[in-house]
Amino acid sequence: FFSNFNPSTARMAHAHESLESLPPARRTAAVLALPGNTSCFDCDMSCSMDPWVSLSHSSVICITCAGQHRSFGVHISYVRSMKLDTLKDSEWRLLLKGGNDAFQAFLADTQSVSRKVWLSLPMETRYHTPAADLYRRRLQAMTDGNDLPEELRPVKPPAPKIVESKKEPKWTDSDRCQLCKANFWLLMRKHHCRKCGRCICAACSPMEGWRPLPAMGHPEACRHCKVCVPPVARAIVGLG
Amino acid sequence: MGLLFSKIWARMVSSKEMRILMLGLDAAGKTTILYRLKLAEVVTTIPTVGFNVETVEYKNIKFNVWDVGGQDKIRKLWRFYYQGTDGLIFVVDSSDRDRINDAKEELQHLLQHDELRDAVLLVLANKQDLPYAMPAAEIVEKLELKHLQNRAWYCQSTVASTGDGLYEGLDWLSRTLSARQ
Repeated sequence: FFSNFNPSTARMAHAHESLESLPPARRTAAVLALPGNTSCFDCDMSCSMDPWVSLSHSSVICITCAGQHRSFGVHISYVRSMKLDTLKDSEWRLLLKGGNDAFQAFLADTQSVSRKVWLSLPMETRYHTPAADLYRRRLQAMTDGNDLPEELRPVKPPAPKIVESKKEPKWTDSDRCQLCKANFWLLMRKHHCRKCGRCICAACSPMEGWRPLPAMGHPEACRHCKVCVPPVARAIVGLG
Repeated sequence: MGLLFSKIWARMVSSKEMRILMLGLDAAGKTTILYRLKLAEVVTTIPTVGFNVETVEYKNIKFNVWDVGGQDKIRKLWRFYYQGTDGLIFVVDSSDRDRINDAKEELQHLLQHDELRDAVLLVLANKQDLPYAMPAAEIVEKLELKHLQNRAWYCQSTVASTGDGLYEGLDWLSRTLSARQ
């Protein structure tokens, strides 16, 4: 397995030893000199002018793919820039041990994910595959100095993206507030939640809870019921 | 009398402007939050090299929100944006336990600046939807917010991708800043 990880062990061992003496500019060059590291692992764009790295996979990526990696969360991909960040020595060592071709070879070996298959998968799916997960765990174990894990594990798929409905809800009609059941009359007016269409009283749609709903054509703060905007209970206030 | 009326009128119709500076470590979600507020959409961002600025109108207040990139080497540039800041939004990635200490140090460091002396502090504990995210109470503790002196602060848990908590944060900013004027 290690042969996949590191095609030229002797050269890398050398790089590893002399890391402390390498100035940062040369370190970047040393990482980019690893096979496959001049172009982005996720889109094949040339990125040696502005290289970003996923430390979780020890791979080099472009700034656009870096943006997508960051949206997965640090438990999937920890992203840094080789130009705009100061990497720790341990992180440089990790980068010199990995490389794009090493990662691709590992994917092909463990789950027969070829380059073509990898690039055809949606970005989020790629990094939620068991092979990518195992690779991450192996790199982590290597950094921590633990035994390398061998077996694939099922990976929880990413949470589905919430798509907000763009259609305005139909306003319901009622003689009583649908939340507090108070009867409507001259001084207890009917109101409607713009988000769910419930028929509610003013007290059940307080102004603190009003929010803009641009997707439904309300750019200004508009009436929301207490169910759509629950009263705040998650904040912590301090006055110093 | 005319002055009184015009003052009352101004209070009722004119919208105030507030300069808000949004900072935080890289990949905390600053740009996503900015465009979630501006466009009510989740945009696919790329790491910010430089800054973004947008005006967000909410409850009769114009928030001029400056979102500055958070990569290590460009954090030195933050200080050029401090001047005239009414409110500071500090965004934290709640799921990044390894770097919460870095976040604390950056925050403590920037609060010492004289130009931010009068700015109120809103901490957004972002990415609450991710596994093992630290709740707001833990963020408060880890950032040592309770030790802050002479600073109005507030910590709100948020999920930028759904917009949860963002307006609650703005509500607090607008309440605190208008009470002060």
